[in-house]
Order: sequence, then structure tokens, then C-alpha cells
Amino acid sequence: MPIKVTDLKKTFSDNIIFDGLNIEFQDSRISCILGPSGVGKSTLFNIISKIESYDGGTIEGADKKRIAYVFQEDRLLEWKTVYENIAFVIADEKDVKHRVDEAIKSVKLTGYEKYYPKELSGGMRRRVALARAFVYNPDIMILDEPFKGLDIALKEDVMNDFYEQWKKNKFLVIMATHDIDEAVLLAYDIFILSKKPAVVKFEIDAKTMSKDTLESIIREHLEEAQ
Amino acid sequence: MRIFTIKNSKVQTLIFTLFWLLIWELAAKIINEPVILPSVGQAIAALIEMAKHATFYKDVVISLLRVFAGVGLSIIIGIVLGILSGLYAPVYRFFNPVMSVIKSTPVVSFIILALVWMKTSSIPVFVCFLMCVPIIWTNVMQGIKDTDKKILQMCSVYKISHFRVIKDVYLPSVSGYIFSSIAASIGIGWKSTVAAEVIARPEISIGGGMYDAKIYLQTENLFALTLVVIILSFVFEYVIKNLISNFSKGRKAYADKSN
Repeated sequence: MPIKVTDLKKTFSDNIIFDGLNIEFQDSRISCILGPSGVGKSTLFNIISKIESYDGGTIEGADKKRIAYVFQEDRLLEWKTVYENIAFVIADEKDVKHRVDEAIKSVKLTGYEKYYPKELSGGMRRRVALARAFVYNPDIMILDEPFKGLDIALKEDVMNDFYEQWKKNKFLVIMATHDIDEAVLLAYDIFILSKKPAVVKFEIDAKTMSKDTLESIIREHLEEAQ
Repeated sequence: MRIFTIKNSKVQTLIFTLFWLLIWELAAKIINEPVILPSVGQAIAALIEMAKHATFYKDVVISLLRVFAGVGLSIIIGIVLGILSGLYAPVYRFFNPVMSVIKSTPVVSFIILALVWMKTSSIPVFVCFLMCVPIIWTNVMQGIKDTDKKILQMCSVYKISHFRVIKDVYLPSVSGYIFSSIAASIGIGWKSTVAAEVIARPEISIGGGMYDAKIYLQTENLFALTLVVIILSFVFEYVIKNLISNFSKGRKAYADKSN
């Protein structure tokens, strides 16, 4: 089931973020949102995941769904180990040990199970946050700049692992990024939001064209959106 | 001066403690009136004399148990009410007036009131509890309010149960506040327990001995008993701190590794 956002309105005190935003994310596809900083990507994600309320409009398709959210910050429990952090979101479910081990393997953190977040590098912490999202077996996964802070080699690695993992279940993914390469590599649908109040400036089915064409189109529209 | 170049803090503490003892001794020599200010030697001699009698140990143990009961009770109730008040504003509004009044009421008012209400042996525990519970309550509540909102948002997205959020997020976040408030209440617990004992005079108590010292002008006994209270308070605080750090090994491991 797709997520359909219709006529969304959201204001923070005097700051109008959305004034009638319409956007639709298709099921079994990875949708990427690009756009300038502060355009409201995180706010949209927070609204979809019910962390934040909204002032008007409707959101269909997110109710009673298992949503995994990889936030811009890692949001790990500093007093729990890598293993415990990942197990935390499925502690009351079945087959925890096996699932957590698999998730740790998928982000290449085997051997670090007993480490505390403080002992990990920024990149490793992000991978723990990703593993926590995977282990949850979500219907919807929201990723807010998930690969930020990873060095180039690792980023490719983690992105490939992410894609492999995703292919197994093909849940609905919404991802915000500043990185055009990430969008080109992963996205099925690309949305470019323009500034204040945010509207969808451009929508593109990424799998219908070559990577180079796609990249230049994105670049062009991103510049316009600034 | 050479004394200030000594690096070892333990040596410094020892030297400065001896310095203040010397001041005490000198003052006692100048005043030369044990009823007003006994010397260090007289106080220690009085302590040794008291230690020869079995009743002294009985007094110490019973007073210790009272502090233990009073502080223990305030820890349990303070933590439970603190968590509930931190989580639910109406609970906070319900308890806040009571806690504010307790915090500003002089300890003797409670002691005298308690004299009317209950039997003398329970008064010190009750008063100790009343003095300590607002400290624990306030600290725990602050800890709950200071818990990272972003972690709580993460918990809500992943639909973590209330029980697990309290156990795995709030309690670890609040533990630092709990430890420091327990440490702070031990001193206050001792002071209020002994004060209640002096006024209520239950049969067996350190405070009772202090009252007798006042009646019979045995100031050296008062000093000796005060010394006992100070030492017990230190020991109590030390033991509790160690118990707590052993109890929370996971957190300690995290704290050690992050250093």
C-alpha cells in the first residue's frame, strides 16, 4: 500500500513548512527526496512516523504499519551494547538472537556485539542504527540522510548491503539525502522539494533512464529548487 | 611553602585534618573549661569510656537501623513518585504542594507534631523519611524531564512498550540523579534522625545519649557522640556508594569505557 500525503499543512509558530503538500510514495520502491536544507524533509518524516502532529491534510497508508526510522543522528542507547541496541526494538518478539546476529552481519559489525556506542566510530554508529532498522522487519523504512558521515569506500559498501537487504523484502523506503550519487544508485522515484512552503518541484521515475541523464536532470532541478 | 607542593591529595587531607584538630586542641587549652569546650583527648577518652558499655553499641545499631529505614523508605517512595511525577504532569501537580511544604518546614516542627501522632521509637524514622523524600523526588523527577527526547521519539516509532521505556531508557538516564540524591540524603538523614532522637528521646538511641550529655553537662560525651555520628555517616555513605556502583555494573562499564 502506498503512502499518500494529501494537502499537508504544517506551521511552526510563524514558520510555514507545508501549505498543501501532495506527495505519494509507492510500495516496494525506494523513493528519494532531495532538496535544500531546512525544506522540511525531516518534518515530513516525523509527521509520517507520528512523532509530530500536523495542522491539516491527510496521510494514508502509514497507519498500523511497522515503521523503522533511521534518524539523522544515530539515537543509540549509550548504556547498551551494539547487540542490545539492535535487540532493543524486537525484544518482545521471536527469534531475537538469530535476527540480531543476521542484522549485525549485514552491516559488517560482527565482532563488535559487546562494544558500547561510545567506543565506535561515527560510521560504525550509523551502521548500528541501520541494523536496528533492518532487524525490525518494517513495512515502511524512513531514512534521513542515512549514509552521512561514512567515508566513500564504506558508504558504497553499506549502500550495497542496504540494497541487498532491501531486495529480500522490498518494503516501502523513503530516503532523504543531499547526495545525488545516493539517489541515482538507490532510488526508483526521485522527488525534489523546493523551498518554503515546500512543494514537490520535480518527480521522476529513476529506473526509466540512464544514470548520466538522471544525474544531470537532478542537478538542474536541484539548482532551481535552491 | 612546601606544604602546598605536596601532590598527594590524601596526604594533604590528613595534614589539614590534623591542623583543624590542633586548632580545636589549642582553643580547648585557652578556654580551659571542659564543659564549654572539651579537648580532643577528653572527647576521645569519653568515647573510649562509652565504648566499654554494651548499651553504647545498642544505641549505635538502633540509630543506624533508623537511618537505614528512613533513607531506604524515602529512596523507594521517592523514586516511584519521582518517576510518576516526571512522566505525568497531574501527578506532579498533586504531590508538588506537599513536597514544597515539607521542604520548607523546619525539622523540629515535624518532630513535635510526630510526638503527638506516634510512639517515640518511630519518630526518628518518620522524620528522616520526611526530610529525605523531597530530595529524592525532586532529583528523580528532574532526571525524567532531562531524558533525551530524541531517544524517546525513537522508542515511540519502534513501538517500544511503556515498561521497557521506563526500564531501559528512563531508569538508566535517571540513575545518575538517583545516586547523587541518595548520597545527599544520607547526611541529612543522619542529622534529622539524631535531632528527632534528641527531642523524642526513644529508649535506645544516640540522640538520647546526647540529651543526657546536655542535662549532666557532659560536653565531652556530646563531642564523642557527634564524632560517632560523623564517622557512621561517612561509612554509611561509602558503603551505599559502593553498593550502588556494584548494582549498576552495566552502566559502570559504560562509564569506565567512555572515560
